[in-house]
Amino acid sequence: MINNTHILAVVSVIFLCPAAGGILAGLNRKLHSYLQYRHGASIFQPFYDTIKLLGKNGSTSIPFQMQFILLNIVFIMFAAYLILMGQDLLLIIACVAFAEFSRIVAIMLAKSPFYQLNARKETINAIVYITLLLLAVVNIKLITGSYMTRSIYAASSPLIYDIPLTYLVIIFAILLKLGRAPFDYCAPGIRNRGSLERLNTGFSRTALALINISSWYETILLMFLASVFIAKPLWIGIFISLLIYFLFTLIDSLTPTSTWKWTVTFWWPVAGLVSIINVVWMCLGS
Amino acid sequence: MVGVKTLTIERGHFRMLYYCILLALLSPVIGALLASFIYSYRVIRNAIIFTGIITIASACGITWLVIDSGDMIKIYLDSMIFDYNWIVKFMTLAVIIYIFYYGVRWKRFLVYMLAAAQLIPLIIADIFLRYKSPLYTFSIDRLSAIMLLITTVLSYTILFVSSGYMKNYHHSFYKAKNGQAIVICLSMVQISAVSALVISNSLHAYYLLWQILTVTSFFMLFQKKNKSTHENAFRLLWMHLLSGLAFIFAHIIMYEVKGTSGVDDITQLYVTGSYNKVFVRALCLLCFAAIIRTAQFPFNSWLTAADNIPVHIPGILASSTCIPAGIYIILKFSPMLSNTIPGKVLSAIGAFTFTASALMAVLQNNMLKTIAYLSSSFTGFIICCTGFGNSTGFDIAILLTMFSSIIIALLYICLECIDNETASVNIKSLQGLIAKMPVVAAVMTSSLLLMFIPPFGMFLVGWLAFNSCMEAMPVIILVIPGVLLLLALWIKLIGISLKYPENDKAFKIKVPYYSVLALAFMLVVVMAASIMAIPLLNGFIRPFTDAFSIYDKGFDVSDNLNIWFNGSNMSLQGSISYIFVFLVIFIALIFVFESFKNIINGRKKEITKFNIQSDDLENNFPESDYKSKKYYTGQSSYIENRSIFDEGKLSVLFNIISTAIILVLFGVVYK
Repeated sequence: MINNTHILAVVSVIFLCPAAGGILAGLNRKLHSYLQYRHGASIFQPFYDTIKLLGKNGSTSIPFQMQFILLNIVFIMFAAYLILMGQDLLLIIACVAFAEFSRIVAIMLAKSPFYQLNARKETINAIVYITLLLLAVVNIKLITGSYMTRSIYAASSPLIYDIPLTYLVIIFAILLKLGRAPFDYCAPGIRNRGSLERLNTGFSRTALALINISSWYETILLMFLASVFIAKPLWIGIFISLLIYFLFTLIDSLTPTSTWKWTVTFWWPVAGLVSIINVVWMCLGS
Repeated sequence: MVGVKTLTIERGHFRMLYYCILLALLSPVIGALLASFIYSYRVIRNAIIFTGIITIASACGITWLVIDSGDMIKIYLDSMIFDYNWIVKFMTLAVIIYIFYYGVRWKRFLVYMLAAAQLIPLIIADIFLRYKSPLYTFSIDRLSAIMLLITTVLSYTILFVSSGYMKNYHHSFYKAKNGQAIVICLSMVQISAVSALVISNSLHAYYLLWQILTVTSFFMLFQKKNKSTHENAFRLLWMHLLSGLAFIFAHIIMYEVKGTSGVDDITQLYVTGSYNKVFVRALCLLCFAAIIRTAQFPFNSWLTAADNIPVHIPGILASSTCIPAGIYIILKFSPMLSNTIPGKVLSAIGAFTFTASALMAVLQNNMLKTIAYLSSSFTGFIICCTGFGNSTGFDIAILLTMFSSIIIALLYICLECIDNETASVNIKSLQGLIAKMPVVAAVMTSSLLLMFIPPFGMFLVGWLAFNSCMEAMPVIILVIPGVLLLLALWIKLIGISLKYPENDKAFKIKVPYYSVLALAFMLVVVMAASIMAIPLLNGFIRPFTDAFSIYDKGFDVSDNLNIWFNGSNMSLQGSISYIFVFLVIFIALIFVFESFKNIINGRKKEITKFNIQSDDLENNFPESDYKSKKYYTGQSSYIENRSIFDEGKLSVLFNIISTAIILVLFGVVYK
């Protein structure tokens, strides 16, 4: 049965999430411009760009690319819906993963060899950060006894008290996902670090517009995931997540990029170990 | 006199059951005899079709009778002209003596030593122990029915495609003139052996059938003239003999402890829980035998090192005969290890193989090796799930057995079609597949999508596993990277096969009608299996695993999430979530539609039927690297840096770690 909560969640997923994500992207660009002594574009510029792209004729000339982009946006929207409904964290991560992998397949379908290289790099990045997210979710289950997001809100104390190291792991994962320096060896980001690093140049017109919208959803999802650790009250969690988001931008402007080898050999052992230490810690404590 | 014991089977159904079993066991053997005596592709294909239809129909009949009669059917053979058990004993000795002779003839120390090591306890046991045969000869439950269906349906589909496989090419590579026919004949014997294994009730019969599988697998590989294939065949032989050795000792210990070799009597013990430490040792030996048969690290090289062989050989071994036989043994006996330390170590072995094999699969350039590692990886996850300590773990394991066998068979069939037309099993042969062979590309990508994306098939299995593994949390942490690596392989396969070639010179190759038929059939099987997963779980598998009476925390599939089908009545719970399900189906259908549009309106300028001759490979396929060194190195261009992901170094590392875990298993048991 459809009730008011469902309708509210659907409306939020369709309108609020992309709006918030777009504004965050605009603010991010603005901050970057200030750090580079430029005035920068309006914070609504991502919306203008996307609307312009949506107005162009045709979607993409590459066969099957549009289908995978549609898969990407469907999965990411569904993940947003699930998180708003307080549903299963495991399914949310799975949807994020499938959305990410659909995007990578869409990149792989482009004919240029640069995109093939980018797709490979992006695959490694996705494997690393989704592994970290899954480890964090498993830690959350150990604390709350359930994968449901609503059980986190129902917990007696914020998760950060019990699993602070896991919060760090989530932050690492978000850093990798958002492609901020020094973790952005394949950044689909805001700064042009050469043609090899601009994944989204594989897309054009409607396809690129949908990818932009999908990236806004991803940002909101990841911020929300970070904020559930400090979910009592939730607005503090959201505020801290936003602070961290803009801190990433600051670090991004100050540091160089890394290599994929470093990403794998450093982040898997370090963040994985941190996560496992947290599991052992909890097992010993209980 | 033949009797049947069950609670609810009707008298009229008894005759049907009798004929179904007879046909399921004998028709592959008849097909094998036909294939071996008459060297004609038309006869072989017809033999495969007719015996296949009969065997699959018999398997379906047995499954229906199992559902109809409750949970289990037990059958005894009495007052026969000859003693069934003496035949089993005689055949077992004959097979082992034959292997011993072969080892001596080819001067393979490991082979004849391992054969001798089995011969001695076997003779002593036969002469001095004087086995009492179990009361029932056949015992058929739901697990047997599932395995029977997997074996018959998948193996006959692979055989159907292989009947026309590279008949001009591989012809010159076999030792005998009718090498291809012999391979098909041996495959049919394997089908019969696995069918007999999953329905028989005696450990002694299990052992005989286990050794028949060993011998037939060996000769399937041994048919090729190639020296490296010979080496691989002997590697397979000694590894499987090692598993046989573990099996015979497990059998003797179990008989000594419990005084019976009846599988139904033994498996009933997990209801009563009355088994001691010595019995657990025997169980671990049985599981060790199954670990080798299911190609787990470090015993996976019999499957994964096999390259440059006809694709259907590893296809049959991995998807429908050898590996499912090993899985069956694990699923049958491992419930007794639930919530014990050996059970958890066994689970760790599976989890490690899952992740390690997934990494190796991603690194491969040779598709034969990729699918072999994938198969090993899935089996690892099945073994891992059996150690969760609750019945949901066994639900997942059975469901995954079905899915993995289907997807592995499908990938082998696709590869067989590609290899048949392009003479290459390199991953590069998949490039531009959508332009070259749109049917194969459409079936492969649609099936992979349907199997892996939420909320279908494999995703469901993973979701259930993560939800029911609270008692095995360290193991599931080991599994997490493997899940992501498998997804990476998924995108690699889909991305490569759907990408149009960079130049327009790609030609469209006509795929033979029998391959198209087999692919269409497999697509239907994949769709049915992945969409009907939840009703199958609730209606067919749950009643079976509930009988294990092991601890279950009452996890319900429809508990957490409202998108799942609830119960067997298939009603959709929830509100908006079903839109997502249909969206996914819709997008998957777009793929199929796009592919078929391509088939109909595609480029027709160079439609050619290639039936590869061994000497015109170079002329027809300048880009084929079949004969180049790169084909054999197995190195991957996917991840450029060899310093971390070198296959050789990783294999050594994984072998050491997995050997250590197996030693821990025996250390725990024999402490």
